[in-house]
Amino acid sequence: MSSIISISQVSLLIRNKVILKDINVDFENGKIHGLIGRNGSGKTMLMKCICGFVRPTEGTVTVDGKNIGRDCDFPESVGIIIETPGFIPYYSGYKNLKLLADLTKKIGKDQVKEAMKKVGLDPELRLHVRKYSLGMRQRLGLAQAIMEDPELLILDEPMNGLDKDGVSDMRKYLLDLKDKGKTILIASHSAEDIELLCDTVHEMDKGVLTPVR
Amino acid sequence: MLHKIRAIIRNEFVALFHKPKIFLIAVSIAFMIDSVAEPMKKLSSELGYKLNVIEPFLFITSKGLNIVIIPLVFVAVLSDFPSSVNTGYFTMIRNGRLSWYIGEVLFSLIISAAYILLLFCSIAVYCSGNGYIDNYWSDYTLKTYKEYPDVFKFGTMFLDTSVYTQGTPVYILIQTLILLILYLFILIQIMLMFRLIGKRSFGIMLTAGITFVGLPSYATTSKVRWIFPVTHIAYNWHFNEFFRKPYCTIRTSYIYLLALATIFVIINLILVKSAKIGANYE
Repeated sequence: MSSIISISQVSLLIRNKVILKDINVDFENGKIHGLIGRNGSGKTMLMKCICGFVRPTEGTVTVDGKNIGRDCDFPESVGIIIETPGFIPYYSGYKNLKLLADLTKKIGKDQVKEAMKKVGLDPELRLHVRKYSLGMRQRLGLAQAIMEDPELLILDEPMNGLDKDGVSDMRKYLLDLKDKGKTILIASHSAEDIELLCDTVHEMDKGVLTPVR
Repeated sequence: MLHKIRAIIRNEFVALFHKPKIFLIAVSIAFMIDSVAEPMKKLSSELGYKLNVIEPFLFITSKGLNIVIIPLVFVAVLSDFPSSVNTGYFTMIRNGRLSWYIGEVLFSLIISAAYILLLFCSIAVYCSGNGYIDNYWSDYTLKTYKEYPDVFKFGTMFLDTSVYTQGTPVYILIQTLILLILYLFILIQIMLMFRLIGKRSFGIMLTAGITFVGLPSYATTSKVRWIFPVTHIAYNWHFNEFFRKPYCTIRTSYIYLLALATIFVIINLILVKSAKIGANYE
């Protein structure tokens, strides 16, 4: 099976501090890949490198055959949740997603509403995002990530703030996406999530990535 | 691409209008009205003159301590510019770095112009009760001293001769507005530059610093003062008190400020290509 993400000799230094150290890894298409590691170990920074938000000091990141930073700024067909989902707090969830959808013009309002329903949010809810609970924001983040039906999902702690039912729904949904051939890279602190969801697991420790499974 | 740029500008405005700091602008307008516009309006009314509503704004922008408030409030209100750099992953990944940057530069220009025009309009509207707008100086400015030689004992709310001897009100107003807008645009580009290299606080301190440090230089006659961008923003500082012979031509100021603005836009364009988005390593 071909690799959708290929990371070659990636190192990242910020203010002379080693954040990522000589990372070489390929993530295959159509699987769920798990990243585990302590806080500050470099998981999020690796995800940011894959997304193009941070350029590695050395090495290359290739997503779907395109070198990030050379061929394109950001991967083309990717949905992301990185750190706390950032939305405009003074707009409703639907309006936030519609504004984002209007940037790419790949989907219309029906698909936006459908994505919200899939993650258990009511698109008609007029509540401003600033009044959302952490779990609702996380669900909105996931709706944002999936609404344009991307081939690759990069999810940093997607279960944060979700209640038991929410976690269960999210797991089912991610497995459904995998069955549809999507690739998912997920960072999580939960051993259960990793065990139940992931086909491959890598552990990050002080910027060094090692395969676990 | 245009709709992406428009979205960046709109998001910046939405973020700006929801910040409590926006009230600093209202406070600064109230301060300028209270300390300049109201006394000028009151005095002109008591003397039986109509005020050209352009004059209070030109009074503010011709005095060092008054004019410095304008950029300092601007820097304070926009201290977390660009608002999307740390929270806008979703916007950024859909826009691309170039569209994002163009949007931020255009926002810088629009907000600089909007802020200056808002200040001018607020002061002009406030004074309109005892004023007019036209392209000639008011009797209040030109005749008071002649007719009431003792009036200066009661205050100094009169334009310097270095202002009204150098051109018509509208001409000087337009020059002042453009110079101020250019200066604010440079400040915001400096803030953006330091934000892109992850040193936001330093950028804020530097922009406030170059305004403060440059300010006292206007009172000197040394040519060194023209190194500081802030010296270029007041129209009357370019001229000798009475004679029209300039210390520094307005054209030189335009070239200097435009060159600085262009340099920062280019530097930021280079920086934005490799900037670490959302890397909070300050």
